[in-house]
Amino acid sequence: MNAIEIRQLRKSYPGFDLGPLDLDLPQGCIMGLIGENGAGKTTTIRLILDMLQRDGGSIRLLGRGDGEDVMLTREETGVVLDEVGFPECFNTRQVNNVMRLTYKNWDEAAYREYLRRFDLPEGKQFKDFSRGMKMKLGIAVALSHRPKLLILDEPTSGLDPVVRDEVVELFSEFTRDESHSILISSHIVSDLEKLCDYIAFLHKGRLLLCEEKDLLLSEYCILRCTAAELNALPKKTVKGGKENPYGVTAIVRRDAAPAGANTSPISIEELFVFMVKEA
Amino acid sequence: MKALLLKEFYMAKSYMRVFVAMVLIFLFASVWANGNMFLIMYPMIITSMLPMSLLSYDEKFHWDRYCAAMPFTRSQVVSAKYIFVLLSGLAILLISAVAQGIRLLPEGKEEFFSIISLLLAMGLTGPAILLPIIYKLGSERARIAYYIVIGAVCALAFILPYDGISAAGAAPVSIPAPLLICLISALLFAASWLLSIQFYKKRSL
Repeated sequence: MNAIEIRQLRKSYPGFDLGPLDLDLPQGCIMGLIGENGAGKTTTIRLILDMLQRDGGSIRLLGRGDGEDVMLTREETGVVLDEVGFPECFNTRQVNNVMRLTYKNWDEAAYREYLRRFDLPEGKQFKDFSRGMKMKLGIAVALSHRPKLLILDEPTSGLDPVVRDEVVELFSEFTRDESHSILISSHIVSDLEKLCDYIAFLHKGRLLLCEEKDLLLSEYCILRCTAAELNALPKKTVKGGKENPYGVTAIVRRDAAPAGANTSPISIEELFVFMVKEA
Repeated sequence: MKALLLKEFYMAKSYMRVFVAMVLIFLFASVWANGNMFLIMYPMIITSMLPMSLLSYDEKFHWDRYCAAMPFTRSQVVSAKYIFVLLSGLAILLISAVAQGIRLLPEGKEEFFSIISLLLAMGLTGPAILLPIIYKLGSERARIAYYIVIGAVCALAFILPYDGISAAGAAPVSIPAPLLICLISALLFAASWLLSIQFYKKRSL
């Protein structure tokens, strides 16, 4: 079963069109949504969470379509938005009291454990938290009602590298249960590269690519050669390239690179930057 | 729903301390000021505006979006605000009734009921007008409507002569009877509740 199934999703604003978007997140997997500012990542997430009315298409979450057991789906979906969303006067105790009444599966012991793990103080008001602490509280709440699906919009932004690493590890732990899945958007591509099974590139509201990460990394490589050597390759095997004083650096299909050519492995970030520039 | 009401209570407790102090001062003053309508009405006026402030905070803190991802229907989110209006309004009405009872009862029974019905009408009508506008436009764009209604209600409280109110119960031909005022306000409030739900269901967050 797919945790998220999106078909022909469309949303238009003056000056911006999203979609049509088709996306599948298989259950038990983590998908990273990568895109520059304004690419449509947050709009996609808000459409998935039914915060915006879509212009067309369909979305299935945890196997349920529009209007089917909406409340159960929300019980089973943990959400962290780019702005966490707690009233600033709240402290972590009040958050616990409200969430205990909100979610049937609220696990107070797990919540307290996350607070301890993230070093979040009990009595301090949310307004006195740093951005990183706010994000950590959002993550603690999202994980404490035993969700099956996590939808995370830029959850690692504002976190220092040590905490980011800890959070990435936490998300990996979460998906050790095969019924658990994560859709995560981030600017910090290195985090997604560490974490994700699938990568989706969004650019100007269009999905440039949605593939298994390992497949992408094994399928493409960086080729350093002369312009003439690059031109000799079939066009469809070249994803993009740039000239420099020493020749050309290009992204090509690994199986198309000439034997003995100067190649190196590619990172997701390099692939994304090349593809966006070519798009 | 209980979670949403608890959240409103925490917010009100945290942000409305000055408001509670003002309400108490005005209530005391209204007992000794021999029926000054502004002093009598002011606690209810500001109580009825309370949900508008809470809605502004919800938007400022992005609670409205966060809440949309939780297991609440949009009807429940709107209803929690209306129930909070009723609960806070009822609390002020009861305290005002005690204060006015000390001043007016047992002789001025008609005047007492006129004032209480007017307080109830005021407590219901302000939110009934403003909440659908806020749910339709958002608190920032609805701010102008907010100030117009506050201004109109305050002006009404100033303009209304004390004698006019005391005549309300006695002259049902010229001024509607207390029961009728309450009934109309309650109907307006119920219609507003339904309208706000419809507006909020279609709102992009």
